Amino acid sequence: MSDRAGELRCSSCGCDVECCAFCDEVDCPSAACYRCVTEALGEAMAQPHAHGG
Amino acid sequence: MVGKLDWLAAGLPTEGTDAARPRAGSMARADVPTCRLDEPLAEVRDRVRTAGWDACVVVNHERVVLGLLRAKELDADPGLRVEQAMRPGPSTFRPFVAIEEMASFMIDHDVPNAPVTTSDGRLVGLLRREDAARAAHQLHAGGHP
Repeated sequence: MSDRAGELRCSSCGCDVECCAFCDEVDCPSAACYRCVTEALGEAMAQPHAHGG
Repeated sequence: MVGKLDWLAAGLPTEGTDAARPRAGSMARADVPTCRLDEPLAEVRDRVRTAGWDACVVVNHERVVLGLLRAKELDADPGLRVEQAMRPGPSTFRPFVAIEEMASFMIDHDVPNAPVTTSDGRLVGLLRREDAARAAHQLHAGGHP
């Protein structure tokens, strides 16, 4: 499978995003997802365990 | 019971060694012009520019942020109403965010201003990039850890 044209990915974690969670632009060269933005700004903390245990 | 993060997110006063550190909420301009969804864009633009601003936050009657008018939106067709021209549901940031982080993100993303709100969406103020960058620079120059 190839990447779709115009697909935007988070520059930190690589997940697909519709627009940058910081600047709201769909063509942001350093797009970030909501989780990465909130963690970088200290608004949220990274989950210590993926399994939740 | 309200948690610490809720307290900080409401922009309430804090104590301790980091309390005096500049943050998004303390640097945001509370005097930013605001408008309502149904106002004519031409009237809002005149009011905003007369006040020396290039941005306006769209709020409801409880000052909950609904949209943002930056320079580009203010220069849209003057026959539009605010809700037709605004950037709907803009990203907002909490008052406790460190000013260095905000300045860094705003410069990287070329964002001229960013709305700061409480966690329930009420407007605290508009953080301007130049204010954030100046505060971050002064913090760095002052050798604050």
